[in-house]
Amino acid sequence: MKKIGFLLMIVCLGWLVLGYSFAALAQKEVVIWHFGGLPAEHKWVDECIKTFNADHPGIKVVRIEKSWMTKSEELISAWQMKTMPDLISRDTVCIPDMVEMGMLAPLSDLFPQDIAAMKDRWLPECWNLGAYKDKVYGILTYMDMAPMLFYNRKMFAETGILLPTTWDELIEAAKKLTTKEHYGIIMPATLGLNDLEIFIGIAYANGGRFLNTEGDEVVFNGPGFVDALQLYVDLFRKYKVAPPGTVEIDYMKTIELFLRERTAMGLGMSWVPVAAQNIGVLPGFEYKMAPFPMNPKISGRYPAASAIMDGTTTYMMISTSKVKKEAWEFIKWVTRPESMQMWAGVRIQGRVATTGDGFETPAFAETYPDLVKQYKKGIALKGAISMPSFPGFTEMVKIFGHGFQSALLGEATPQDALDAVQEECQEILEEM
Amino acid sequence: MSGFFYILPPVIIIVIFIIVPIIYAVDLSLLSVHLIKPTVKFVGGYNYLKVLKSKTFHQIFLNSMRWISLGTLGTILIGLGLGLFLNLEFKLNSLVRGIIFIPWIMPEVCVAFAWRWMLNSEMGVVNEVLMKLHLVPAYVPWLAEKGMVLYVCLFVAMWRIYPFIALMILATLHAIPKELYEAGQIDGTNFWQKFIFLTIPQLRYALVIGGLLTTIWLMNSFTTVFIMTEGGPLHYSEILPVLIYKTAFQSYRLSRAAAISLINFVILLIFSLIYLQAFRKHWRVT
Repeated sequence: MKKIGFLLMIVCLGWLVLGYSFAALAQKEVVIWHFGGLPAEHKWVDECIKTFNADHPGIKVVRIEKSWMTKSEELISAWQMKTMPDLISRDTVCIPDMVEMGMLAPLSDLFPQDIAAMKDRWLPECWNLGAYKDKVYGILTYMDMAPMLFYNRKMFAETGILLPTTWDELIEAAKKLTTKEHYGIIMPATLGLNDLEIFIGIAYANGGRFLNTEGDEVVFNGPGFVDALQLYVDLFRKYKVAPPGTVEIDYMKTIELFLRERTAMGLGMSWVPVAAQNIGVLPGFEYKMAPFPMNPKISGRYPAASAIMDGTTTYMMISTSKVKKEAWEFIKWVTRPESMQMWAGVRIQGRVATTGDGFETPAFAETYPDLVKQYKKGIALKGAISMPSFPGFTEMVKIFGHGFQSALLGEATPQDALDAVQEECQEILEEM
Repeated sequence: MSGFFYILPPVIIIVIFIIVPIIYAVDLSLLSVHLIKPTVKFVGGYNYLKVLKSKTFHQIFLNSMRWISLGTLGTILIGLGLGLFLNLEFKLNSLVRGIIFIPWIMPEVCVAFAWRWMLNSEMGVVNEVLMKLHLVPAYVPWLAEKGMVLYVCLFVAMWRIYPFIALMILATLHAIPKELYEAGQIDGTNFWQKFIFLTIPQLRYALVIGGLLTTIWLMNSFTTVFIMTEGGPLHYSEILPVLIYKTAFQSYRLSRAAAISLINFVILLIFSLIYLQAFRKHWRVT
């Protein structure tokens, strides 16, 4: 009797193990590499994945956090080693490069009906950030905009300075705000993409462009960029209102120094409140964000851009994924209105919404009242354009950065510095 | 015949992990592999020409030469001085030896990150201490000053390596027979004569090997520079390994990166041959 009982138990256990194995085999795993973001955002995405997995027993989404600083390197290595994930979330600027490498799957070809149904929820300017050569490769959760000026309200009040709206006013304000205790302004100026994007935003607002309209000539050595770079050089070298170590201060250190009251103003993108929230704002510390002052006489040849945009957490599908249908289910889940609300200020403050429902979220209006007013008038993001994004940009922006730093270090005038790197970039563009 | 079987395992390892990658790198450097461009063609020496003609490469090559020559010289001198100091008999000698060895056992990544933060111009502890002691009138941008940054990074790289060299020298000093110094004393040698004519010849082997190892480590020292400055500002602290990395992973030019790697390899080979030649001569003499 005992033997029979024991045998029955073994058989049952065997069935259990077998059943579990089959269930595990039937469950399809979707791996996401999540580049960048801050702890609060990671926590939120993990919660989203948890609810998705509970709602989809046949799919298991696994998120792996990856460094923002080495995103290209990690993806290239994985691509060469054939160990790519199914989905990635990163910035839209990289889409052309990744498409040309064959890394990304065209979502508009794979899921045309879903894409057609989704498209109208997004503001067209934002939707287009995820597209390349008339195909959709990425679905945006939120976006970041540049350039923005953040300033210490107490320091402004103490010196009785009004918010600068022109470059001359900015220089005057920075001069007055520079004391023994703090600098007037910090402009992040390393070769990191974020720092360069902030500057590119200022140059675009001054009528500069990276490429001409046809996209066959590198034109960042035009007056739009040159004058913007001259502004940086003047603030740093001529008026000495920025730290001597400016070329080693990146966007994150800028915010940290700002929060420690080591500067009265700083340059950044719309993500400043998110980063500040992460570092921790001391009680009583009051700051505000404002659009970066304009050059009263736009010197560039192109229309002044009101801002430049980058979809920094955009979901993209890898072309080699074997679970594309399941991965797409997750993209749809994470970009539903109820999920997107979290990016629009309900949980995370500072990111800019990309959908109509995001703009209508009351919490978003608290962070960006002006943007919401514009949205209600139907002119939201008017004049805003995409960050430069074309094949070879990743390589070119580094070379551009050398010209940028060369001027800041006083090795050449802004014009000469940008002329020198323009030739090199033009060669790369022609090679592409 | 059985002798061949004995050496087969290391030969297989060397072939798989050294010879094959070198051949692959040579092959890659003769092609036009660019990750964004799908077509790959044979370009012969074009990548080498492109690299050798580049002004940026010249600057980085010079940086690398400064890096290894000053770095090797500095590390050997500090290691030698420290080795001699630790050879003295004094209280707490063992404790001092242990403390001095700490930089060597710390992971290079941690060392680079720690120094990067300590040397930060606005938030670094180094500037805070110097300011408090009134040694500098204002914060010094250690990692942003073009004339200084390469040497600051080199200081950190040396700071990590010198304990090993010191230990090597110390071990050799322990092995020098005391009779040699006693004989020298009978002949009336003074401190410097003892050092130049007795100690240094006995340390030659350790110094040559230490020099060779330091050169190789410094030549391949990627982590310290990349973490501290990424080679910046501009290219002022960039050395060849950082250029190779940037060319491959930030510019997606794998073939050009392979060409630079091989140039780096040849430079290293030349240095190694010079050292080995010197070592062989010394071997023959002794």
